[in-house]
Amino acid sequence: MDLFRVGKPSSQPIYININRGLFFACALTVFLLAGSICLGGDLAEIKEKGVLRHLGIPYANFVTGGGDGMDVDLVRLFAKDLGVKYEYVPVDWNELFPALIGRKIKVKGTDVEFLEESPVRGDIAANGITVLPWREKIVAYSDPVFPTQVWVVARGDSKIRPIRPAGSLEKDIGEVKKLLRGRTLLGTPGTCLDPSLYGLEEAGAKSLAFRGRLDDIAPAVIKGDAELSLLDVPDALLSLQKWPGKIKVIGPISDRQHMAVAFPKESPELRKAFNRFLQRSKNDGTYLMLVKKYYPYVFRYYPEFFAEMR
Amino acid sequence: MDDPNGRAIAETPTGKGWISRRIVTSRNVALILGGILLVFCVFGLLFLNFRASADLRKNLLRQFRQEAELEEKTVRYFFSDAMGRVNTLSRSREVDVFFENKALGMSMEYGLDLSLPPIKDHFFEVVQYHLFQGRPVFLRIVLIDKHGKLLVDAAKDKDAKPAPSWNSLLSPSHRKATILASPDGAEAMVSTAYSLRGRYEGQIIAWINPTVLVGLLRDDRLPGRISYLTTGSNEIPSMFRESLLSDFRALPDLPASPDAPTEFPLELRDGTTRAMVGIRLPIVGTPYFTVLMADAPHTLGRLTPQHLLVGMSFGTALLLAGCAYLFFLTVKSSLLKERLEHSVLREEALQASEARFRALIENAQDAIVVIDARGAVLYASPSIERVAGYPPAELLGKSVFDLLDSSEMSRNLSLLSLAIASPGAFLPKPREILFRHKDSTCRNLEFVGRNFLEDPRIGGIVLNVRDITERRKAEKSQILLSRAVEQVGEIILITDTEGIIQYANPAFEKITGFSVQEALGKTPRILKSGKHPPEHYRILWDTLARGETWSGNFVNRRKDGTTYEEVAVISPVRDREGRIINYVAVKRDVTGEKLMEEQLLQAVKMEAVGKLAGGIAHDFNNLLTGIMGYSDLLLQGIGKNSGMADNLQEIRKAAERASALTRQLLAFSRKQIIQPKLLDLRAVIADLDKMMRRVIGEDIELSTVPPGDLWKIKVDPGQIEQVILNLAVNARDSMPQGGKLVIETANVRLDDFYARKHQSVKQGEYVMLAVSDNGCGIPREIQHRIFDPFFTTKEQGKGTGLGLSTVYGIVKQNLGYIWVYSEPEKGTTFKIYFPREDGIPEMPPREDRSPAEAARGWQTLLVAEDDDLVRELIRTILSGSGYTVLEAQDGVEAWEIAQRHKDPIHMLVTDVVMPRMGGRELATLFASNRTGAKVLFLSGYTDDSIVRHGVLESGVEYLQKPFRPKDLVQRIQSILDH
Repeated sequence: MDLFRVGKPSSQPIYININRGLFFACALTVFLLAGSICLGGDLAEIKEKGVLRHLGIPYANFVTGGGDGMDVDLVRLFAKDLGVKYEYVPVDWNELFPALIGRKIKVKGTDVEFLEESPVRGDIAANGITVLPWREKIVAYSDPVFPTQVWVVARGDSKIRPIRPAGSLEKDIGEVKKLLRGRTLLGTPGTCLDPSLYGLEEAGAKSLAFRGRLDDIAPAVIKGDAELSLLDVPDALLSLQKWPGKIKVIGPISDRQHMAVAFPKESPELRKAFNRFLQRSKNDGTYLMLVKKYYPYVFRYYPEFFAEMR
Repeated sequence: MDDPNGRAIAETPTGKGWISRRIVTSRNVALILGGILLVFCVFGLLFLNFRASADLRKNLLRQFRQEAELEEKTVRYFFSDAMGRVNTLSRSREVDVFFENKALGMSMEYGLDLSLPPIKDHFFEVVQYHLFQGRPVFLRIVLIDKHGKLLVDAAKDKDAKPAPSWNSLLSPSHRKATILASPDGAEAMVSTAYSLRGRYEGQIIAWINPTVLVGLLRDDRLPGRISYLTTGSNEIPSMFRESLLSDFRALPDLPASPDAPTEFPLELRDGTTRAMVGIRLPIVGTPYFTVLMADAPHTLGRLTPQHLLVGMSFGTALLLAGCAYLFFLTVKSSLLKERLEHSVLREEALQASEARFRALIENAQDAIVVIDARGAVLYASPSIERVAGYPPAELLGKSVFDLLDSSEMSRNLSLLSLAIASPGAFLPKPREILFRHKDSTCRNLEFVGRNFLEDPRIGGIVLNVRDITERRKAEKSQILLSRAVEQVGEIILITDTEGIIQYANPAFEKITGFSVQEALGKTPRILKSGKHPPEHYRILWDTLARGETWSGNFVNRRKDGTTYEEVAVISPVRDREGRIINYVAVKRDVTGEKLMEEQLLQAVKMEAVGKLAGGIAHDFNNLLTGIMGYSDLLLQGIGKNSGMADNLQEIRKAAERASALTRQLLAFSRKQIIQPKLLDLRAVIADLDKMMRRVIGEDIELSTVPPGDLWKIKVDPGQIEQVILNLAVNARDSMPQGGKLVIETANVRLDDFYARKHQSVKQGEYVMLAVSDNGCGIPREIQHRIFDPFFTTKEQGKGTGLGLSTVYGIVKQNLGYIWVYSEPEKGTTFKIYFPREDGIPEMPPREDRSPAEAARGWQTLLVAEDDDLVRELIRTILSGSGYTVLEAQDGVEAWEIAQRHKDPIHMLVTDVVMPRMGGRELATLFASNRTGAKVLFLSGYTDDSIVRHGVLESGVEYLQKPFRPKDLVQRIQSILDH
């Protein structure tokens, strides 16, 4: 398998440093706003067009690929709320953000390098997208839609024993990192499962880039492509249900995270409209209904996230 | 007693006997019998009713038990369903997922906890939706890990109180769902252990909804029944107890699992008691029991069969008692009426009765005598005159002892004493006395009697006397005849006209071997041997059918299978009307006589042949003496190298064979002169062993079976050797392919039985010589001819037919017996018996046959020989040997020569059988005339002049013809030298 190694910065790309180049940030904002007029659309334009295009990648139960999923249902309800048609636009992970913002990108740690233009194919991206710092640089997120975290998993018959929870997430992460030294670890660059986001190479893990669909990471671990893999909690929960005894959770590698719906930064009205819709859904139980439908057991893990809604 | 009209009347109208006879009339008897029958019928019906009631009750109880079993089965099915459901939970994927993940070491915080909600959802789904009669079956289902930690709790009631200790509910042994009960039975649980890969991981417990159990047992399936559950200790769960105690003050303590329901009283809340029936059955596989109760009268009827029977019996008894009382009144009334009528008739009846008895006694065949205690006659019936010759009046007052035979006075007195000493007693067994008739003859009288001495109406001993003199005579005659028939030696057989044996005397048993009991009821065909054609029997029966006597012979078969011959005379026996009613057969066993006849015939035949052979042998021996003698002389004369010598040798060999043949003829005819010696037969056989092996050849195995100690016999040694060799040769010829020849000897005692079976045998001690082979055997049909001379089965030229006849002759000459036992293809055994002789055995040294050197003689010998040829030969031989020979043609001439001759005559050499004067007489005269002179007898065979029964007398010198010249010369020299 030809894996794409990530981590070390190349010599050519342009780096955007959130601390160092305010100027560049402003310039980029102007550029994007200008581009959005011709490439994407805010709320008014969408209503005018009469269609809300949903960029999605089949992943966990957010986008199942079968025409449903928690995010699919949520966006569909949002479109309905807006009074426009719903249209699902399938993309790959590499295409997701370019198709939303109209530029190809190159991610380097928490830095993003904009590359050539790319056609805008959707108005909204939602498929369990974890809120990551670099992503916040290029898209606007809605209010948190779903809690998440990244766990390290291994094959069921692996000699690596899961850690004993110490009552502290920080200690637990430290325990997990100790176990990674010298072991192969599957990750997906450009996603929340990118090992570079969590300093795992520094911890001694041998990172392997997984180029398949995100849903196939767990089967790849079971198959033995690597000793370990990163999985976010929603996917891990599903995998544990699907393949009991085949994989096991070693422990956490990240802090608690959130997933949210991504918007072009040029669509503030659309984002606001969605946040209002989301709040209404949380209030009237529609949101909980969707969670229970697609992640019925997640409440046990993140009770504080759902406490206000239950 | 009857009245003149024949009506029955009572003898004493006032007595108990009278009453009983009045009651026992046919009408009353019928009434009584009818009453008894009625009683039996009534009680029979009562019994049948009781049986029917009992059966009905048994069926009701069985039905009640079946209802209880149905109830138990219903609850059991319910529990089984609940257990099945919990078993399904324990195998659910959700539970497996949790424990699989746990086994991987996952923590609850990171992933493992995620596996519990699906379990809970599943459990809750079961609690929620598994219903029975609209009610949830389970109130709560929990999953506990093996450390007693509650993992999942799915309760219908959110406020379900926790169990006091989850640890207490762990039960690894319950691998399959099991029903558990709390001590009071109120909580019923289904518990099952969960194991992953054989390792215990936790427990699933489900609480059964008690209202479901109540509903299960309180439905309307069994109307009128009360059912509930109990524990093994008969605790009633609260959900049942409260309801039951609202109706009853206390609940029964029923036995567990009885064969039949129990009946018991139960006190109701209102203080009344109700008879109940109930049964308590265990619910298989659970700690619970079902109890089914019902109101006993409704279920089983108001009365038990026993109560019903007692009640009906009592009522019936009252009814019957009333009937009996009415009957008694009726009978009493009838008796009073009849008693009046009877008193009128009684007198007439008495008179008629007396007349009747008098006529009876006076005309009776037997005499009736009444005597007093001293024997004096008080009364004698007219018949006594016929019996005793005395008119009754003459006997009155006389003592009966004066009339009895004095020889048996003491016995008569004791009989009378016995009668007197037993007042009122019978002498029922007839006693016999000898009575002196008036005509002075002695008569046999038989009497029976009864002692009425204490009866004032009679005052004596009544004797019933009968004259049995003629009967006694007939019996004696019969006994005599019977004894004769029983003891006669001939069979006497009486059959009916169908031939069925009615009688057989003891001789039948003795001769046939069949017991009389075996023969009775059978026909004489049991003796049939099959030797007679059917025609023989047909003629017999035709003769008998004509009423004529048949006589003839039968060969019959004994019980042991052997046959015997009998001469039978069979005659019909007729009754007075001349009809044939039986046949009597008198049969005499003539088997022995027949055998004797045959043996006599055989002996006569042998004697005749022997005489013929002896006569021939005499002439033959003279001729052979000449042939052999002259042949030897010629050979001596011409020398062995002459061309004629071979021819002369052939002549001499032919003569020797003829001589041997002649010796056999003499042996067979028992004319051979023998010299018996006391011998040990074993030594003879041992001496012959080598020769026999040479004779029989290598293909035949010879074995001798010597006894431990063998008696001695006195026989001619040469002859016994000849016997053994002849039998050995005979055996050899019967085994051309080889075989086994066994020679045995033994001491035997031939007893009377053997002697009777073999007519010619004398009982005594014998030495047996048995020669057996396993050759081709001798066919039965020729066995009686094998000892005949010249009888042979061999090819012409292979045998002379004299071998066995010679053996026979020798055995007989030595006073022995010979028998042959042979079966074709199995072999033959010859058994020879020689009489035992006591003494020391002598085995004469074998004759030294080496020719002695012929010495020349000088003495004068007188030769008397009627045969010219022999005489001339003797003269030639003796003259040639240097002797002076005086010749005579017979005894008379020899005696004359002896008287004339003045010089010494040293020896008389004489033939034994000669005309005018034989050799014996001549020798006697010669010895008296010339003291010390020697005598040598020559003979081919001899009469009894020098031998006794063929045995040479002691001191007699004898030379058998034919002899060779040198034998004669050596013998003469030997006698003269001694």
